[in-house]
Amino acid sequence: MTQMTTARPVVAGPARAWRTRAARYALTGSRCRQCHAYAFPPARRCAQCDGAPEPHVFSGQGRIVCLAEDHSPLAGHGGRSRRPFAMIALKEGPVLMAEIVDAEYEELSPDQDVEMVIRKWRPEQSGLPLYGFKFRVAS
Amino acid sequence: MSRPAGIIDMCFAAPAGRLATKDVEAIWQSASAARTGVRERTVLDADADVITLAAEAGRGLGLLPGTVGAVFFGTQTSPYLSRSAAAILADMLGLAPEIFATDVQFSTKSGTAALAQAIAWVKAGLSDRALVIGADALCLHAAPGDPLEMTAGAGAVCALVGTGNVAARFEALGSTASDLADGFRLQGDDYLRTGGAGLAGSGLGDMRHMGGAWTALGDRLGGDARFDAIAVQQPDGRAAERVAKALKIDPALVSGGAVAPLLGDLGSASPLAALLLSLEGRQVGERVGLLSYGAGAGSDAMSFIVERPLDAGSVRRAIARRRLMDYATAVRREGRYRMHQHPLGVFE
Ligand SMILES: [Zn+2]
Repeated sequence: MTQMTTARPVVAGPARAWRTRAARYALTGSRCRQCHAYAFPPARRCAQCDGAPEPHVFSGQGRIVCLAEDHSPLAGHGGRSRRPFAMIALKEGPVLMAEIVDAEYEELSPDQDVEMVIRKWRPEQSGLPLYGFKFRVAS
Repeated sequence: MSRPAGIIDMCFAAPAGRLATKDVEAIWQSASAARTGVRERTVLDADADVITLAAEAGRGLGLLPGTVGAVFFGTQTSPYLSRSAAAILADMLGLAPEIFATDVQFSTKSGTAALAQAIAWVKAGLSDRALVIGADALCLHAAPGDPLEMTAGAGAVCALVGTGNVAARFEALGSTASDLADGFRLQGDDYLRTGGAGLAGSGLGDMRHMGGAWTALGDRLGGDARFDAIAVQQPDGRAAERVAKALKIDPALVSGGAVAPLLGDLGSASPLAALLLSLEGRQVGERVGLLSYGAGAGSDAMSFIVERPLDAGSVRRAIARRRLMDYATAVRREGRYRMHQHPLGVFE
């Protein structure tokens, strides 16, 4: 059964990592049974009509709405001092924020088509990597 | 009587990063870039591993049928010594939890070993479909200055195997294995080692095991089996040619599957990527061979009859998604220096 929990890239314990894996691995959000509105992260109640949503796996196809660059001086990321992030409108409607891989900020622009990939986000408490969705320019 | 089975579809994935072999040569002056026949090798991103590469290849197959009952994950470079990469991948591809999942390891023939097991699995009727991964990230395990550093890349192939609607019908298998320490990695050691140039150059490992497997396959097919293409393991850009010469195979049959010159040594993904390229644009009824080698040592030889050509667009797209970087950047990306542990660090 798909878990109806959010997928925020925070350092997580194994239980949280386990609960959020459907959203991280497969962009599993939700779709309202009554008005068919989509939500990501999955909603407990439909924001439009308060109906009961069911799990929905999004295609992973989307479009860049706007971009920002992360300059936070954390160690890691293969020595990169900055990484592009974007608000991405999924083909089905919901908008989410994700890192864009295989590109520098200067090469990206709004309205570009992007596709989901799975990469490592960061370690969970035990040191195991937490895998999850990122996006890259669609091929 | 077991059921006819074969490969239904295949998809390839590789990192976008590239490192020119002549840059490695300039730094270490340890080996000849020209002699490897590899112009560039893939560089793995800090946030990637064989599981993320396999997930990319698996997602490329589109929606997987509910009849997939098994995942055979062939790799020698799993990030985990005991956690199952196959189980993580099964969850990433929406196949968990009602699935048989197992990791398969035999050096660089882990992918063809997984393929052979999956074919046996579906022929035995344990499920209608099975997923096969051949993936490696040898670049993470090449010692600085070692000749392997020039060629070692990363890549993954995901193949859907089953008993109906096959593109390449499995015909026969010939395999060899014996104890020969021509390549290995010990627990606690990050780097792959070879048994030395003398052993490698003797042909006791690669040529003898591949020759034996190829002969065994030929015996199973009957004396006069003719091949229209042969996908061969490519530790470097010239290996397929060398194997063809040693085994008296027409070199034109192996050239269509070349992946090493532009992507480097893809390890367990190498023969399967070559197979995907070799299955593109084929005529129905043609015979395609597969010949892998894993240090240690062993070889798998298989033959397939084309029932429908495959599209190798995933290989071309991966080759086109190319980001050239210098040696220092590649070393940083791959995290190949041991560094301080940062509590807020991300992956190194
Ligand atoms: Zn609703």
